[in-house]
Amino acid sequence: MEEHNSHPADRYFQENLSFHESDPSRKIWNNIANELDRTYKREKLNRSINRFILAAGLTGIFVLLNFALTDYSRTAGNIQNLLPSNSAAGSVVIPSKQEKFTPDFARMTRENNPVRQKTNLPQVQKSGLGAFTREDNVMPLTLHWKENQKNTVPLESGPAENNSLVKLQPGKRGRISIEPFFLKEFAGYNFADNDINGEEIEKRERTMFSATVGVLVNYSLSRHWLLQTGLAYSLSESNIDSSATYAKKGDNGTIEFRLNTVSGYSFLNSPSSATPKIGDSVHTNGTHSHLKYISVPLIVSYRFPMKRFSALIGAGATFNVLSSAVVETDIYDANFSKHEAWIPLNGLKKTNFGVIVKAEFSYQIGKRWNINLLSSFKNTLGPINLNSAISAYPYNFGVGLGMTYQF
Amino acid sequence: MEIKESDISKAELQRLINGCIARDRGSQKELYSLYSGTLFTLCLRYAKSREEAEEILQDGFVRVFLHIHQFKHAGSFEGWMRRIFINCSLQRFRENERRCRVLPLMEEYQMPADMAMSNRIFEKDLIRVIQSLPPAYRMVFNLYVMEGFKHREIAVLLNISVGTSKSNLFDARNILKGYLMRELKIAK
Repeated sequence: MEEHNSHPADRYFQENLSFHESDPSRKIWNNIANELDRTYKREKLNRSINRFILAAGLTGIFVLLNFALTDYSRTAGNIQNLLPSNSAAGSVVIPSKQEKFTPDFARMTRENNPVRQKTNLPQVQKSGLGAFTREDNVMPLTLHWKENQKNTVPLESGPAENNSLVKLQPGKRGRISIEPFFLKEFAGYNFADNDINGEEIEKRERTMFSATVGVLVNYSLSRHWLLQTGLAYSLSESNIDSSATYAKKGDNGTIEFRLNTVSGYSFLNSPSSATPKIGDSVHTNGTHSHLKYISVPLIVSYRFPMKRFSALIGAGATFNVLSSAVVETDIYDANFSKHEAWIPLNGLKKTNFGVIVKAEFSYQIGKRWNINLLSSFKNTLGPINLNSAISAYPYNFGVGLGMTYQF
Repeated sequence: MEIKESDISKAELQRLINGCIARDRGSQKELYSLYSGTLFTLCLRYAKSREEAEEILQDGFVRVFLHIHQFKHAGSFEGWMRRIFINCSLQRFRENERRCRVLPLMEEYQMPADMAMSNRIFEKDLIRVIQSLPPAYRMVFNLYVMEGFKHREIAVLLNISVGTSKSNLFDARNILKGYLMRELKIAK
């Protein structure tokens, strides 16, 4: 076993330096705080990117699976998409249930115009949106069309009652659709300081979580233009650094512990039964402010349809109603005993207006259903608070998912 | 080397640790204020200059705050932090060594001129004389004398042989002893 020899020189240094303290420059703490901020932001961004990639990946997998597993014999799809773009005369075969529809299959049938069966042709029914449904699952069906008559497809042969023109009119979409959605938001505040404490309050508060869930009602004004409105419920949670709050005389003359946040202020209850005196302090830790809003948006959007995909951009306004505002905190007394408290947050406007810009990428997964990848940016037009140390203008950027049901 | 944890109650330290885990900036600042003095002395001993010590201090505290949730309450909190700062110092030593491998020679060692002129030894002078040691000597001296590591542990940490560790310590002691003798003579 190795022995730790104690040399006189060693002892001299140990005795003189073990309890010695040296003061680093003041800038070190600022550097550490900045480095931590950068790291936390990087972590948050990485987490968000990972979640976004996961959501996009899952959406992609869902879309691919949906595409691969499409049973063409049940839903033939929009036959007009199979017709050649030059409107030349030709034919197309709707495969039977046993045959998978592929682009090659469509090409082959167009070029070769095969007639699979001359007799016992199956029934064909139109089923909304220009799609056809096969009622039988056995026979492939060949459809012919004449030049420049893409909307008129005669059956090649078959029973007399079916040997007529089958109208391939585009299906009539309803004008109204609904869209439930969820957005994860990256929120922040723009500030205007009203007094000298404002900057300090800004520094010690950071938004930790923000999300919106809601339903949009879409009204198609035309093929491209939409009007969107609905109802959304937003939740925002901010973390406030621990601090000592000192008792001050309030406006009504009472002495109270006022905790300021970027969005408002709360009055902390004294942890002891004694009436607080001016200058008394309480220590708060684990402080979070919770803001909940109900919003009604009104958005004008423009849609770019691309077969099953469509992109949509829009801009509009939101009317926001404050639903709830509370502060959750742990108050420590002089003995460091913890007292948990949920306190109302004062100084917030009951309503405010904001602007919204949004973009959607949508994929049709059924006759009536679309899955949407959403992004939005919201900013309030005025401060959300009154009589506060600072005026706060919240903004947020959200990404999320939604589903659209077309009536 | 328990310095601070006796000064503050366990409950208060726990509150600070919890606050730091929750990334509360106020708690982080309090913890920094509480330990920065002691840990900066540690950094000064391992660094060759005040500037380098401040860089180690900064790196160390950032690591502490980013990994504080990994503290298992198995030993003292200060001990856990000291280990992080020693690792930061070792990492910097290895980086410097890779960049420019300096072979310490006794003949090349020069005592800081202003120190030799002083007639009283201050703690900050002791730190400066440690700082002026060749890097390999400084690391071995700090790890063995100030932190209580054994030679075989130092050999693993610094990737040297046990013999080199012992030899470096011997040389470091001689330099420091020479400095102390000279200072005492001047004082007499």
